[in-house]
Amino acid sequence: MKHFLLVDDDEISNFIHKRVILSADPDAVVTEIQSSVQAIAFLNERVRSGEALPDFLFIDINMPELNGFDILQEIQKTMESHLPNMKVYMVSSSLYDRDKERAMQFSFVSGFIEKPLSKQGILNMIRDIS
Amino acid sequence: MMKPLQLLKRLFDIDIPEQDGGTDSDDILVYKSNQFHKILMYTIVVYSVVYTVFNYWIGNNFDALLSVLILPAVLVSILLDLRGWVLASKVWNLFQITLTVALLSMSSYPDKSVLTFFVPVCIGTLINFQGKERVYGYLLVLYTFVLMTFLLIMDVRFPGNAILSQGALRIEWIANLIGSSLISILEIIYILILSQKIQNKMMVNAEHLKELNAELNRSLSANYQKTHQIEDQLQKIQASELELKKLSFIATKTQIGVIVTDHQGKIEWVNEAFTHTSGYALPEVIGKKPKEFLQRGNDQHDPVHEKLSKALAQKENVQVTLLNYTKEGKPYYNQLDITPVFNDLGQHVNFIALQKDITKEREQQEELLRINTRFDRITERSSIGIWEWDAVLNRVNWNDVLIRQYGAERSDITTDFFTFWKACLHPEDRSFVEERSNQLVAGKGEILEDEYRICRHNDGGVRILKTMTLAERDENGNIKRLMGSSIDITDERNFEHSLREKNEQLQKTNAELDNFVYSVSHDLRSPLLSVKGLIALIFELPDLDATIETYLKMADKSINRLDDTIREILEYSRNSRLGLVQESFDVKNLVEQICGDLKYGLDHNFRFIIDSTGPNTMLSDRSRIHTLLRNIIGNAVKYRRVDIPDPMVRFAMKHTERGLVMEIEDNGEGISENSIPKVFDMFYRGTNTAVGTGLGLYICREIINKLGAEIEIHSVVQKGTRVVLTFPDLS
Repeated sequence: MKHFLLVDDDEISNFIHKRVILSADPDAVVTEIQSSVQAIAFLNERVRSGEALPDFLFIDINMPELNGFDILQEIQKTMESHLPNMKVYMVSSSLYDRDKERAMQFSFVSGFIEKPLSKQGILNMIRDIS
Repeated sequence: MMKPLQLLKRLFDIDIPEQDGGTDSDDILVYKSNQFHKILMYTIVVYSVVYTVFNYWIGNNFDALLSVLILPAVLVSILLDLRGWVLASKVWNLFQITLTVALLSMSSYPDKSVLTFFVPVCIGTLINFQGKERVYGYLLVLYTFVLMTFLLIMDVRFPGNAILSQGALRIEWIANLIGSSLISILEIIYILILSQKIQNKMMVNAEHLKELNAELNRSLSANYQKTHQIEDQLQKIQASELELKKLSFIATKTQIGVIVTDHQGKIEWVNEAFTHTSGYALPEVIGKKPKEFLQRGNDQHDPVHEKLSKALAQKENVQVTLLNYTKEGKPYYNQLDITPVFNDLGQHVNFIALQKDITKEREQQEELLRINTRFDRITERSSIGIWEWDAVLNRVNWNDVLIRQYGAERSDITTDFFTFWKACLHPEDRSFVEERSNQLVAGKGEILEDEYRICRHNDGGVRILKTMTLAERDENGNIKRLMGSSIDITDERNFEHSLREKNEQLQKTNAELDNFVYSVSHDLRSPLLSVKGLIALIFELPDLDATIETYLKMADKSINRLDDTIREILEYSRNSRLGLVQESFDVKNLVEQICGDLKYGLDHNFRFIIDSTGPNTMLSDRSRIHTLLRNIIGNAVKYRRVDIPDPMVRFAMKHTERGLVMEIEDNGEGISENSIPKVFDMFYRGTNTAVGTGLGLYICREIINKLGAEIEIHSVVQKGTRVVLTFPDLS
């Protein structure tokens, strides 16, 4: 049973992604968080309590308050040692190489995916880790 | 001893007369012989008389005759001597010898005749032949002696003579002996007296001589001084002669033409240099006036000639430059320096003219002037200020442009140039400009380029000058000359400043625009992609109505086209607006990334093949190369054939002499030959099979142009397309 955490301020986007994930893996557990601050709190809480981190983390770039890169920095700062268990993907509608390059500079980021997530893409990801 | 001598002296009245002046040896000898002959005369006269009487008494008649004959001969000889007729005396002496010999040969008893006559004759002869002639005297004595000896030995006798008795002979012999001895003694005495006299006389003379000597010494010393003075003067004369020689040598050999004329200006002498310059030799021009042949017609009425004529008339030194003509008629510029020469009495005697052909210098000067004028015009037109400082003369020259740059007139610079210049320097720039100038002068540098501000002299306006200073040094590194140029670049700087400001503004605007495009594209796409995701979800729903599915597919296609359009508009705007960035990057990585992106959500059977040999890095604009390759590889994916089992795209890259060559080959739909030239046109779409905006390849071409690259497209419909990109090798 895979656990997916979706961080995106766009409710519809989260909805679509959740549906796509579930269509690819009906057993998956999908958590949607619309606020980046809450997402960081969620992750920190998991680390603090010793609970397992999600298997997949999808982060949108353009968000109010803290954007996707801020979350990546926070992750790098506080929970890098727990990361091998968690696949981190940036998900964005951005067409800028700059964004992609910036994301790929974080060694723990596995990929940069253009919205929307596709069923095939999710299947490929799951296949890659198993 | 003296008594008999004094007696004799009285008896014979011998008196040695004082002789004036001449201490000549000849005079002494004549005098000596005179005295001697006086004594001899008396002795011989007495003796002859006694002898004649005696011979006659004893019957020796011949000898008596002989004595009578000899007597006058001896007397004549003595008289001749006394008269001082030396030559006649000598001749008579010879005659006596001959006579004596002849008479002796006739004598009955030559032996006694020898004693009687031989000795006095010989002595007379020796006295007569003095000095250089003494040798003849000796020869005569020798001759007489030999002849008489011969006669004695041969016993030649005069036949008529009586034979004397032994007693008579003895008496005669004794008488002869006595007489001869007497004569000889007398002669010896006489010589003694004479020598005593001469000694006295010599002593007196010696005194006199001493005095004379002293006198001579005095006069010699005086003479010596005089001689010394004369020598000095001689030396001086010689030195001045040498000087004169040198001067005349210089005048002859110098490269400067020299003309010497008389007071009327008629030539007396010219040197070689004059001949060399003018072509006229000395004999041709002597007695002529220079202007008669050096000048031609009309040139003679200008101010220069007037100045010359006036100066010559007033006998003044004058320097002029004339246009003269050589013998061949060739004109030349003659620099003349004419000096009148006066003698000790102040009379004008000569003109000396030094002339020099300065045609070449004139021409060079004129050429220099032309160049300078040209240079001035250039600097004037191009507004370049020029200055020059001669360190040796400590003199500064500058052109009008420079003065104007400082907002001044020439008359404004009352102090020296550098003081004026320093005063004009902008207070904020002054210290560094002065420091750098000092460093140039003190150091070893040759060139100094600066840019600084000045405050203009007239209105205090701040101007920016761009200056250059060149230092010319001697072999010790000391400054000989400084030269500088100065350009007022205030307007350029202001323009550049405003340009820079505008550029900055533009860049800011561009960045804002970029942000705007980014936001817009993102904000446009986000809902679009949500719709796309929702449609994908609808397709997942079970029991989907076929009509709805068809409509949704159409909606999905439209959304894709819209998304492509947004993407391409974004790329187009970024390519045209953003500047080129040069960076080194790995092309293979880039292609892998592009393929990875394209692969996402693609059918499983599509293959991406990447062939790369050699180095994968390239130096270029990574972002543009990314856009370019994503478009071309994306096209290969977009226009893949769905009806074949192994659709693929192959990327290959290699470094060649022409540069970096990339090939993208696919086995897709291909492009018809007619369409190939049009694929780069804006909004051209070759097919309707897939979604397309017609912007993709247009952007590619824009990028290719911007990077200076080339693109070739080879395509066969339903077979595939091969795109070849060639990039200039920047590394």
